[in-house]
Amino acid sequence: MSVPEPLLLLPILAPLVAAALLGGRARRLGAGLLAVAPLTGLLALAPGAQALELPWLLLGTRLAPDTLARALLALTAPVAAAACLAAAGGYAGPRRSGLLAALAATVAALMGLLLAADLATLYFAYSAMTLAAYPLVVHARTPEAFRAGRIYLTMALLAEAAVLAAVLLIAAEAGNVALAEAPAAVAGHDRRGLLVGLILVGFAVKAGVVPLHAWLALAHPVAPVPASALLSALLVKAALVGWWRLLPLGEAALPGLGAALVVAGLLSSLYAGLVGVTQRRPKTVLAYSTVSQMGLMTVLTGLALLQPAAAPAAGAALAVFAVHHGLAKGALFLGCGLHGRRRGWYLLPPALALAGAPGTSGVLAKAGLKEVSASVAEAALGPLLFILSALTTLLLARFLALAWRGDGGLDPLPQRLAVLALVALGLVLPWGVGLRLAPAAVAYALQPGVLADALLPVIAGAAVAAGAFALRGRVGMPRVPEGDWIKPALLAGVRLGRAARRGWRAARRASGLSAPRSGSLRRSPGPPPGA
Amino acid sequence: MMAAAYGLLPLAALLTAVATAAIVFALGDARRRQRTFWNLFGAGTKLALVLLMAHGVLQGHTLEVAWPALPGATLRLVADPLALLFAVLSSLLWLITTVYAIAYLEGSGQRARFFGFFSLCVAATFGVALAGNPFTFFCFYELLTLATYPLVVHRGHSAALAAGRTYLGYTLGGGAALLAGTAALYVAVGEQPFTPGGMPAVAEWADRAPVAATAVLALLLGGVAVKAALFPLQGWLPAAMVAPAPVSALLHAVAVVKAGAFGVVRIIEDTYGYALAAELHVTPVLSALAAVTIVYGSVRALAQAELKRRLAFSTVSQVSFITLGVAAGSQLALIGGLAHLVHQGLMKITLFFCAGNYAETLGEHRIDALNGAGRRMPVTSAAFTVAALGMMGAPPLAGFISKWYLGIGALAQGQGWVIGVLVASTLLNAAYFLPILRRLWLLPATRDWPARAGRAEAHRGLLDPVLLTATAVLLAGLLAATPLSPLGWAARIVEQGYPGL
Repeated sequence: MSVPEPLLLLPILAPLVAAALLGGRARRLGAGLLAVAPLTGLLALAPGAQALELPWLLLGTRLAPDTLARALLALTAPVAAAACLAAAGGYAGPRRSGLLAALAATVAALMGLLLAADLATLYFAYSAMTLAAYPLVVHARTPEAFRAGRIYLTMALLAEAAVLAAVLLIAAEAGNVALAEAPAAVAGHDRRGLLVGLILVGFAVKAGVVPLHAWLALAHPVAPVPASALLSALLVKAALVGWWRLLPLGEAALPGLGAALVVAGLLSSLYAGLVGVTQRRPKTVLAYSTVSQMGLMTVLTGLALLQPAAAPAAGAALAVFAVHHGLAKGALFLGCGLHGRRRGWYLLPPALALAGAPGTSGVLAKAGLKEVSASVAEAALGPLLFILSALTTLLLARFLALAWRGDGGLDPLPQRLAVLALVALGLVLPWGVGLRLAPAAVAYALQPGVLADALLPVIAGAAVAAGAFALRGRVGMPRVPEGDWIKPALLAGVRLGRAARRGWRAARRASGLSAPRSGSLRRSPGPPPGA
Repeated sequence: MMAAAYGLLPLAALLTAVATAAIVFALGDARRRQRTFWNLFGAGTKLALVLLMAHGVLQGHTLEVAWPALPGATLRLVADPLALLFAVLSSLLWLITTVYAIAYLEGSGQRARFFGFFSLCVAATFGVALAGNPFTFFCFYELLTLATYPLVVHRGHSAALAAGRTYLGYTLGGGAALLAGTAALYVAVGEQPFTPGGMPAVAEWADRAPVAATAVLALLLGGVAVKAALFPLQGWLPAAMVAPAPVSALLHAVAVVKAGAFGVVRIIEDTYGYALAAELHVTPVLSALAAVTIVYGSVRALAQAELKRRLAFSTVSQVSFITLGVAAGSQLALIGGLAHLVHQGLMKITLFFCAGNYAETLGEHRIDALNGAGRRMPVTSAAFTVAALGMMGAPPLAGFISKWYLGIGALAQGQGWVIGVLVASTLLNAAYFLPILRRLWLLPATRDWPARAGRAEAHRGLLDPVLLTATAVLLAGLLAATPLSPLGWAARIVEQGYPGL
């Protein structure tokens, strides 16, 4: 079966059409349509496809899904559909249409990002996604939500400035290059070091590489549940798309930057795991877990940058990892929106998968990571990965302890359905993608010895968690604010500003200028000098 | 026969605007319906004539009229592709702004005077666009100054008069510099037509007397820099904000600032030629000034609490992209600059129309009073959003296309620092436009606004122009790759006129 090429536009247009219907009289139809619109993304997976050329659009648009895009489309379609279903059928809070419209816009931009096959369209979709996600973050309209939104948008736009510079640098040499040729263009660029640095930094904010992860920890807890599912399961993966489309992976070896990226990923993973354990809100714990898992995906990218020969294997492992993590995290976030007393049972399978319990997709994802890291960095990463696995188990135990019991309200059927669908898909889909892209990793993950290997860190993490549970109340958990460094840093900035102003006034008084130039002080809101 | 008819088109289009002005003055204040008819008829006819001219140029006809004005100086109108880029823009936006102004000024006094000078102003802009030699350019450029002054002071209160004085002070000063430069040029090389790539006589003269040639170039550029609001000569622009919204829209989008920017193109590319200007070390100075203006205008815009003032400083910043594109000296950058001439016009006229709608319908001038206005005026706010995102350079809107070409064009010349300017401009634009969008759409309304009269959120005459221009902003970006988009036309100009750049 081959798909007519114009249908490649459907995943982008369908959510927008649904959103347009939301404003009018066909509100219910629009909401219903929105819940199925993301599934049109599966059209791009049909064999025999496909590239859609729209030379009149923008700077000559080309849509064509490649291997990575297909894997991520297989993830995005069901997760986005589940999030939209949960929002359309289960969200009863204020500004429902606004939430649905913002979800639709974000999904359309995501689909565009995955399908884009030229530089300008990629940048278009990426920046549209950044802006579309802002209303999701601030949906609650509380001061807390606006603060999170401000930090999200500031960090995202500063990063996007780096992306814009990188895009223009590439375009200056190669024009609106097809993305399939972009890595080669970057590899042969006059200013390759600068360019690669810009690409790394530009997408690192979305990927949540520590210390650029602060927005994640603030935005996820305040956003409505379907929105945070979308952010955590899919939006952060957009950074991986950016990296894998533009970095010269497989084209050139960049040992310095590659090693830096590996180290940054490992530190991210470790740091976010440790900070996440101290958190008190289940969604914040999950946000830190996302940062931690994205760290591992950053490691895979770094390894590919370090050694071009490992890039194909790293790409396949990354796709499997992303699908595994996206499904599990989507299910966990949507599960947080359930009210039932026994919602823990919904959360348990994806939590086990993330922890890497034997037989789950987590083993498969980690098998891919181990395989690639063994081929590049020998055994150096082995012990570290063990610790990280144990830490992940601890983190998810913390999450389950916080989130196990719901408040006992009633759950609408669509919402339960959405969670169940993702839980069930999480048991199957990563293996399917694995068989397709990395059959060796699947065979490896199913060996009996590996099952035992996978069990050890889980047991270690569970043991620590059990110990902590036994000691609860007697040993205090350190209090780390959400977004860890950002609040102290902003406070320090404010204090520094005040101190500087005070010091400046004192200096003026001391130098005898008791009557300052008219206007300069009258405008400042502080107390008059000498007060 | 056919060719002769084409030859008369420039004159016919110019006379259409002048005749409209004369009829409107003659009709007086009372006859509103007749005035409206003649206004729209004149604007429509002129647009049709200009489109016919564009068609003729595409067919390969030469459209030129000339008649002697002074001994040694000829008034000469030529429709080359570059002239038409500006002429089509100004004619199209004139028609739209006329519709808007008729609705906006309904019920206020002195409308005959307003619309008369409005038409004269557009006639002058048309003359600036089609001027075929420096003398003609100077004449229409000064006419533009005189025709816009009554529009700036239209309200007649003391603040308007003060702003008018500032405006006249700056622009007449600039006019004097331009006059001196033009006269010196005529003394040195006699009358020469604008020639893509530079006048050969000027190149010879610069070989003999480089210092004099540089001084004259500086005078000429100084003269047009006032209207182009190049730092440090931008002071009049924010002051001129006291004018009614349609005037601000036209001043910022088409007439005055664009005449200045267009003058920079004519002087650098068609009088001296880029190579000579670069040889005389003028273009690096021009790039630097443009870069400073871009950042300075944006930084000042951040601090403005009033919507129109913020937009004014945004204009200061955005218009310099055109100068930057010219001064960068590559084909791609020039394409970006010329496309931005149109793009900035479309975006800025949309923004000013929207500001006018908020002022007229809700009575709000300050940004912090616009909380929740998106719910009350969704169409206006959607248009504002499109134009503001376009200003930021967000794809797929017009501003992104300009930035793309400016960026890769500057890099082609090895001027990597321009990327820094573009990125800084994007960030600063985000910093002063996104908070407005947040107020419009996300914050709850804090004021009691008058209820809607009827189904539309505002007068149709205020709403339709905004919709049209916002759609144009979207299409100019989305369809940039097509030959008749502003980008396509700019690329045609550069490929035909400046192949050696």
